[in-house]
Amino acid sequence: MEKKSSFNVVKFMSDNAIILLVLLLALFTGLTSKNFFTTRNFSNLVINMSPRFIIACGVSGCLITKGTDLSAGRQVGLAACLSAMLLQSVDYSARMLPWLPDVPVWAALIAVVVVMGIIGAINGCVIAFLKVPPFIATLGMQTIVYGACQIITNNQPMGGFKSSYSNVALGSFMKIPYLAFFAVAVGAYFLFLYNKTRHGKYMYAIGGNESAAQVAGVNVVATLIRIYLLAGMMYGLAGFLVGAKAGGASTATGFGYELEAIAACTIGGVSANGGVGRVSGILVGVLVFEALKICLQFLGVDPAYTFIAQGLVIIVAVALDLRKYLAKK
Amino acid sequence: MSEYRLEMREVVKTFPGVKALNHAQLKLRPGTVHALMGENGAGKSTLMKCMFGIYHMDEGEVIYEGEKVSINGPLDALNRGIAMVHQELQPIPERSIGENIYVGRYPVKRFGPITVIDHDKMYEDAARVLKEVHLNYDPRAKLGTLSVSQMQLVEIAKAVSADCKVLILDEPTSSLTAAEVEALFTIVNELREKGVSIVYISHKMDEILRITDEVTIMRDGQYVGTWNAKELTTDFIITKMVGRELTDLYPKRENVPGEAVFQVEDFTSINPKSFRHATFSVRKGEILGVAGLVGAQRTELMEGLFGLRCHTAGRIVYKGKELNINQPKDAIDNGIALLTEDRRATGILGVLSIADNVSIASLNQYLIGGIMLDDGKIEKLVQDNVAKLSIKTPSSKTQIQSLSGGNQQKVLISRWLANDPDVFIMDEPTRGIDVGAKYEIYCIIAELAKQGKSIIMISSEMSELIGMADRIMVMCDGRVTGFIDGKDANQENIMALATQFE
Amino acid sequence: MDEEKRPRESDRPDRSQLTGIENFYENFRKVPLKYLDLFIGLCVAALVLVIALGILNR
Repeated sequence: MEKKSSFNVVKFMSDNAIILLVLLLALFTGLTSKNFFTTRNFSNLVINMSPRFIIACGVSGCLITKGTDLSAGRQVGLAACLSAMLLQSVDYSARMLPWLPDVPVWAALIAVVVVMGIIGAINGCVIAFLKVPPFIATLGMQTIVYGACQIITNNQPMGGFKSSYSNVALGSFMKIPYLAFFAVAVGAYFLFLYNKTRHGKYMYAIGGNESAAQVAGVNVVATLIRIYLLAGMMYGLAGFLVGAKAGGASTATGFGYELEAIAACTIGGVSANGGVGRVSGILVGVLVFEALKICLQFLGVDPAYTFIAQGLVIIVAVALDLRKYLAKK
Repeated sequence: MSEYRLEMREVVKTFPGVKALNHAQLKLRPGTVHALMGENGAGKSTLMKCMFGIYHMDEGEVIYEGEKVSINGPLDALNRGIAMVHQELQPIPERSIGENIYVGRYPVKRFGPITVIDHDKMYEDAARVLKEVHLNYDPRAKLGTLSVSQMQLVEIAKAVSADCKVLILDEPTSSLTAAEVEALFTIVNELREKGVSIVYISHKMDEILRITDEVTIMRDGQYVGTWNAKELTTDFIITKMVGRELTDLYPKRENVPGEAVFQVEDFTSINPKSFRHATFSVRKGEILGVAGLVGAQRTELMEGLFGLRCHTAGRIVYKGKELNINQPKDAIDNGIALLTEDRRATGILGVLSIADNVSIASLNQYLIGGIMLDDGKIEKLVQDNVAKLSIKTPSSKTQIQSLSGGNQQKVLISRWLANDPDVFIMDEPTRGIDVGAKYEIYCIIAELAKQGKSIIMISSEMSELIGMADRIMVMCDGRVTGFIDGKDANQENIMALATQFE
Repeated sequence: MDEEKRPRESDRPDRSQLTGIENFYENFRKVPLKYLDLFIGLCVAALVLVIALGILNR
């Protein structure tokens, strides 16, 4: 850090370049389009943000311990497909599992979260016990999960959900979408976990200096497994919500979600430097991404341009993180 | 011109918090073997690295063959005729001996615009060089087929092959057998005849007195003096290397050692080159110093006892009970603490706050309902320690890496004290810490001993050991070579045991 | 073993101790920071450009 005392404008702008840009974009959109600054639109934003936020929270633990989870997207996809298979309407003609009785929504949710948690735990074991670098371990898991999803769904896209499932995404309580409640619950949980529990402290310790953490008696293996297990559970929940929101699920669901989640975390202050990262930052990062998307959509921009813009945001986020890392050492 | 081929004058080099070189100097004549001696940390390697351009000098100059020069790095030095054989080898075992000798400066052939390595010339030159140093290795053989000591000889050949005018040997005989040492001396003598200036860095007194012409001694980064080797004795050298007034650098100690509580028997590492058959005991309320040269495996032994390294044999008995320690947590649960040697690498959690650093090893003590951390309790713990140990910090939320070395160390000590350990192992507790903070830490150690804790203190500073320890255990090359009672300890008898190589 | 154990200026982390991402980042150690800043600046400019184009071409 060069200048310590006074507020360095240039530094502030470069640290938060993307956030400022998107802020400007939002202002521009609001001024040039009708219906942008409305509760309805804000509601849409919240609905879009919620599952993404949950996924980002899951990945954040991996990033804070200097790891990564490239299997996030495909896990979300698998979770969405599993939810879909369990929660299609009984009288839907193209039901995937016609023999299945009517499954309560909450039961499906629990089942999916448990299954994805197991997958996450496997990731954790491979990384912590077998000492496989997280990049490679989760990359492998990514393809395995994708393959499993194809087999289970027979590559058939699914729809025709029972209304109580769709309602999870469409419904609201006192004008607040149900999805928001899920996101808030997850956010609160992670806030508690990261700041007020031993697990959280151990996580930051491992990210800050794994060798020192080990000397201090931290059970690195157990903590890492818990982190990836929890991440898996979050992907399960998110996948369940994504399915409800989209009204359908296929093997393509969730593709590439991990890139956005990791970039969102990076924008929000979680980085390869390890040991740092706050829930508030994750929220900001996810907000930036979704705001970008929703602004461009409102402005009628061709989705292709949005894709490119998102890609550029990801590159800038990583480059800024790289810069911080090099400047520090 | 000058009678000196190479001179280093008034070299000053500072690292954060440490003045590694304080107006150091070195003067080399042609055709001379010049020893450079000093304790660990005296600045010998740092001075050489400054010469080579690996470190940038803050002040000072290097005069080579009458001209002031600025050397940019090892390759530049080599091109000017200055070569160095490092203590730590950097061999490439998969490649041939010839390639290793000429790495970075392969002879080349040009075919128009294309440049290729001239392998034939390389092996021819390599064979010639190896012959010059009396080694019969086939230059085409893979380097990995040689033993460590043979690789070291090849390193020396590499330096010699550069047809250098100045050759620096850093602990050249550390891996050599007696016969190979003789071979080395033959080479050194031949180089001296040829007029090469040789810098010989070593701790081995007998070698120094045998082979060198002049001896320069450094202490605490400063130049102490240069003498003719013929006029020197071992005692004189040690005195000059270590000689420090034992004034009030150390607090009065009031601890009274009781009975032995911690016994280690025949502790042997899984690595045959590391510690072996270590046997010792520590009493309640005793400060046991651990002395030895770099490479004596003191740190490794303590890490082994703490569960960071694997052992194949030996027992640890604590208060009559045999302990089974396989990981740090086992040691911690049994009341053992370890303050590591390199706090930056294995001690502090740099980006985390002081509060986090202090509490990390004892979080189980601050739980509400078994799950939630009581920030208030942790804060109180931090404040208690800040007061007790005089830790200077703006707040408990400050990042620990912004604290000075001394204060960081105090935070780490607080971390361990939170578990109330009975055996506290400290590895170089005052390294990289200024004089004022050192005294504070000595007081803390003395107080802990007075409270009945057993302290094991590894230190490379003679005077620190003599000033603080009730008893000193000396190690050499992985073995415990002896014990000296605190009141009988002096530089000479410690050094004697520390250099008792087999 | 190097006898000089004080904090070293050229204390590049041992690459076997680094994580995958850090290892990747270390590849850029030799690049002067100003080129990195330039790259970031270019990407941001490109971002603005892409958004502008997207808006204009709708």
